[in-house]
Amino acid sequence: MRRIHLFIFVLFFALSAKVSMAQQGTSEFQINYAPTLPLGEVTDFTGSFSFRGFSADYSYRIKKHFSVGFGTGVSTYYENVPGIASEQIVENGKIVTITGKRFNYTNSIPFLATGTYFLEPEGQIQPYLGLGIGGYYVMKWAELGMYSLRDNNFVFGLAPRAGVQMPLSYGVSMNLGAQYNATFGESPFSSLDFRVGLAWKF
Amino acid sequence: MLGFLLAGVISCTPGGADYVDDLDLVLTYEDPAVNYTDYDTYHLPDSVVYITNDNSTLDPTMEAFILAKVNSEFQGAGWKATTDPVSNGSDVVLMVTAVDNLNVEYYSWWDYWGWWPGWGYYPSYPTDGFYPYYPGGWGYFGGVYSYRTGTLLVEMVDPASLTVVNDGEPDPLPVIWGGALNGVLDGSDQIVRQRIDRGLDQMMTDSPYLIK
Repeated sequence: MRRIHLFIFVLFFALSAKVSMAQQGTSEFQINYAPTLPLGEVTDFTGSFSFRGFSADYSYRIKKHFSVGFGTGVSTYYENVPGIASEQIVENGKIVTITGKRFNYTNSIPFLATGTYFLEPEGQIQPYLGLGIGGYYVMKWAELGMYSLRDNNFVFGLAPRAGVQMPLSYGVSMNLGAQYNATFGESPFSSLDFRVGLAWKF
Repeated sequence: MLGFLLAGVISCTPGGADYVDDLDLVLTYEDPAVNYTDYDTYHLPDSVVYITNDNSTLDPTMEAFILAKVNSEFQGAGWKATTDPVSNGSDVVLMVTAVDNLNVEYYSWWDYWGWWPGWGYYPSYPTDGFYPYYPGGWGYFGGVYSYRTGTLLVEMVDPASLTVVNDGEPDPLPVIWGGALNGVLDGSDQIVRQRIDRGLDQMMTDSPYLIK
């Protein structure tokens, strides 16, 4: 009998804790492995799917269904350009031509304010929709031998996202989702990140 | 957070070159103000100047290979070689230099090229010495020759346009065209020859204005 009482107490505590974790006033830290697909003009420079990336987010649940926060991370893209490539640089009216094996790189670091709406904030599957808005530091460079040609920009962008969270244990959930990144300006950057990770509520 | 991101950037950014020849570079310098069709003859001194920090020397067979290849490239492009510059001169002089160390100050250039008797032909023989001068600057070299170990340079100078100032200082000798094979002297003899052969071909491919 005593064991049954203990079991009921633990179950009650767990359920109440689970309910309370979904309530407003809680914080969440999320970290994800984020393989990513380059899109648009990025594919002209670094076209390959990248398995190198991660993201980190913090959010605060201001309402039962809605949280706000910020997010960042790193995505890296790389292309080993087949054959050899040439670049011409004009400096002071003189022309320098550089030819060699070329490696292209694009790194993107977002700094986003985020809002997330949980369609179902409780239960074993908690789908959500969200939007990030902010800046992206996009570093593009090409390496030819010991030389590199760089083009770094900080650009404005939007990042709609969608996914699901699945509670694993007290305060810990698994996150599966995707985020589309789109920046604006002369050299737009866009990509689709896939996210697999964990979220801790506290 | 910044440290976290920096660590992420470094760890996530992939490597790059896997093989030493992935780092090979061919660089050429062109001065659009120069009409290269005005120049027809060249003289190639019979030595490759070898600049090194130690007492090593360039293998004579490698030196002969390099000079033969440079001759072949320029004759293939329609240039005429002169063999007696002391008596006949030439429109341009091709200076071939192998650099086996880093950060060679160009003001020491006269020490390397002052021996050449061909300078005696040209009217503006620089008694104070000279250094090769790239009009407008070869930006990637920043005024100082800083090359990857084992770089081969081919520099085309126009000795007739040298302006001599008798101030005890070396004078700039205009380089009207330059080519560099960066890093090609690393590796086995056979591989080095292949890379020099390929690199000098590319040097001329990147300089179509030199073809007659």
